[in-house]
Amino acid sequence: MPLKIISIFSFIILIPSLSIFYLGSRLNESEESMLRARYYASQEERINLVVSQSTSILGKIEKDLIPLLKKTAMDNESINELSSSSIYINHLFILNPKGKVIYPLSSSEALTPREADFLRRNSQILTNSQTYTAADNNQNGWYSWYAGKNLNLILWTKTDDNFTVGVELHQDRLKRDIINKIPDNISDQPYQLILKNAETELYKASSKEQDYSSVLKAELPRPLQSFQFIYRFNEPQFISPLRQYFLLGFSILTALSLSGICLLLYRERRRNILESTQRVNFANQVSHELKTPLTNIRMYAELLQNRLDDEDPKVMRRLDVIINESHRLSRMINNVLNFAKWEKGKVFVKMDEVAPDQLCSDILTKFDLAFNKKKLKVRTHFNAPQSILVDPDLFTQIIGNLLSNIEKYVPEASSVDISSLQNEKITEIIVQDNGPGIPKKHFGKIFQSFYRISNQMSDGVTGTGIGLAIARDFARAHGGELELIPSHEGACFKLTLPNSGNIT
Amino acid sequence: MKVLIAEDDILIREGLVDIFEDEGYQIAEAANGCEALELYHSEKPDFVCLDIMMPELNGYDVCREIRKVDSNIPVIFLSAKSQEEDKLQGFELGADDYITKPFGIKEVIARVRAVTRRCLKSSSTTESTFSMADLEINPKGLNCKRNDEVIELGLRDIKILQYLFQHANEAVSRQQLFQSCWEMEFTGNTRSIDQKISQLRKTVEVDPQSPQIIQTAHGVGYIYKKLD
Repeated sequence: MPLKIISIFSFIILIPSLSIFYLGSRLNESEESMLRARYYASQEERINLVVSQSTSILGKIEKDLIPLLKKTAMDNESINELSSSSIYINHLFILNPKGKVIYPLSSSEALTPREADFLRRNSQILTNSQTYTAADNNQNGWYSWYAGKNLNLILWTKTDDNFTVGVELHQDRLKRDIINKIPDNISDQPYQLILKNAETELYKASSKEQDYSSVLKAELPRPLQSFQFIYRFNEPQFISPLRQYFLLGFSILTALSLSGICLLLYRERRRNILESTQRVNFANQVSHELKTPLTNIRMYAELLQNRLDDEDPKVMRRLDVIINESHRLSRMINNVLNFAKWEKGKVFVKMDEVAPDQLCSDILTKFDLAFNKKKLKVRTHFNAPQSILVDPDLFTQIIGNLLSNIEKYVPEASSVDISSLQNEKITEIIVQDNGPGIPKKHFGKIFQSFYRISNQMSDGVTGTGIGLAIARDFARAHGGELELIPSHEGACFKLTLPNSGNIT
Repeated sequence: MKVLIAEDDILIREGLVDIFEDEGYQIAEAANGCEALELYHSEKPDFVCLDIMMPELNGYDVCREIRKVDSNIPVIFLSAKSQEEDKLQGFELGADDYITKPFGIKEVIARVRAVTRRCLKSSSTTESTFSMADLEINPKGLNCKRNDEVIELGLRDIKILQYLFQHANEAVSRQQLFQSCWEMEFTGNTRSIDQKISQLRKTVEVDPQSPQIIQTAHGVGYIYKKLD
């Protein structure tokens, strides 16, 4: 197979198959990305839910305590009352508008050891104005810090008269409650949930002890932002591998089908070429086979003629018939064999300088016997003396076919006019008879192969219907044309040829 | 003059042999390419007529072989292969002419005479023109002239005219004529002689019915009467 065809076929086969595979894979990929994103989003929601559920206690504390803190009076009674209002409260503290800790008062004699300890641990933070600017608003907020490994947690609020009232919270109680609020079953899929604080693991739950490939981390909200949940899970199979196999299979199938089609097309082409070659070879072979007996018929008839002299005119005439019929046979064989070799549009033209009037005359003489038999009157009006470039064999075939049709189709004693015209560029030969002519409805079709106006055997007209088809193709091969011209009587054909041989 | 004819179809070959013999040539016949080459070497013909599609060796190959040893000898192809490329191949191999089948006898004769003229022109023999009545005969040109009209003649035609001219005013018998112009043994069959004379008269006489050049010598044969 030639290289050009291999590359074309490869192109035809590979481009669609690879495109299908590539696009399909991309589609799968993007679907997988989308599904993965959704999955992670839902996992994030899950973990956020865990966070919000478990830290809901903080919000509750805030909601409950801040109004109480705001209302606190300065007397011991209300302070004690407040201290015991929530189990989370470890110690209360109050700052004056200037930021000085007035409760517990370090300078007081009634300072309990517990209070002293509180002050020791927290007074630095409490008196630092930064503590109170870390919040979103300036009225209340949380604050947490580490003293060593211990977590300290305060909630504060500003009163109407700009005192700051706050509580230190029991961070372990808080932690315990947060942990208790962690839902037991976050997901039906295996997972591991850890709550940790720096290095300390505070909580761990695993539905299954194994390695997990994915992890999501979520910080707890302020003031516990140093705490984080670590959620470990496995990504599920987003897209079944079957899909990719199917895609591969489909691409291969496509490639195979296209290969099959290409192969068929190639075989078909080869077959056509072979048939065409066989047809031409057959035509040549038959031609050769037929020409040998034809040669002998003509040669021996002529030899006989030479030998017989003028002895018997009837004898001579009969020999003439044999010779002329062998000519006719030769013409018919040529027509048929040219047709067998003829492929429309592919006519080999060999130009030569020809005087069209002379050539037409010569062709006419070959029809003398046939035309005389039918008593046809032939009139010539030759006005094309200039030599032109045409293929003489093809030209002979064209005119010969036109005259042959006249011989077949016009009735006895009809007349035939052959005229020629010439200008600088083209030569026209017009063949007109006064026979029955060609009805309008056949005008478009008579140049088609095998088309004959009447197929009835009873008409007594023989012919295969290929003469005009061949003649027109030969005319066009010269860059000219053969047309049927409307005429008031009979049929009129016009052959137009360029003078200087513009081969198409 | 001797011609080698190579043609595998026996009928065509015999027909060609008839034509050439009638024209006055000696023949060497071959039925295939190998025979043709053998005869070319043994018979040494003056020119060669080759069919192309032949068994053993085709006409193109025979021509090639001949051209290897002789680039001058005229070669004529006679073939059913009539395509342009076939003719071109023939001429490229050095053929002098290419006749396609089916051919007419007249066509073959005309072309063979043309080739013969070329052979005669290049040969060393000097045969001058001579006149009989108003006819000027040119042996090397294989033609004769009456006033300005040129008439083509064959080898044998020339021989007959020459013989009659040489025996002017002398009646020659058919046997004499035969032995001189036919180069064969006389078998007593006079038909071919009379036919040839009749043909020749039609060709060269102004009125073949009352011949001036080749007149009948009753009881003897034929005579050319030279008018003083």
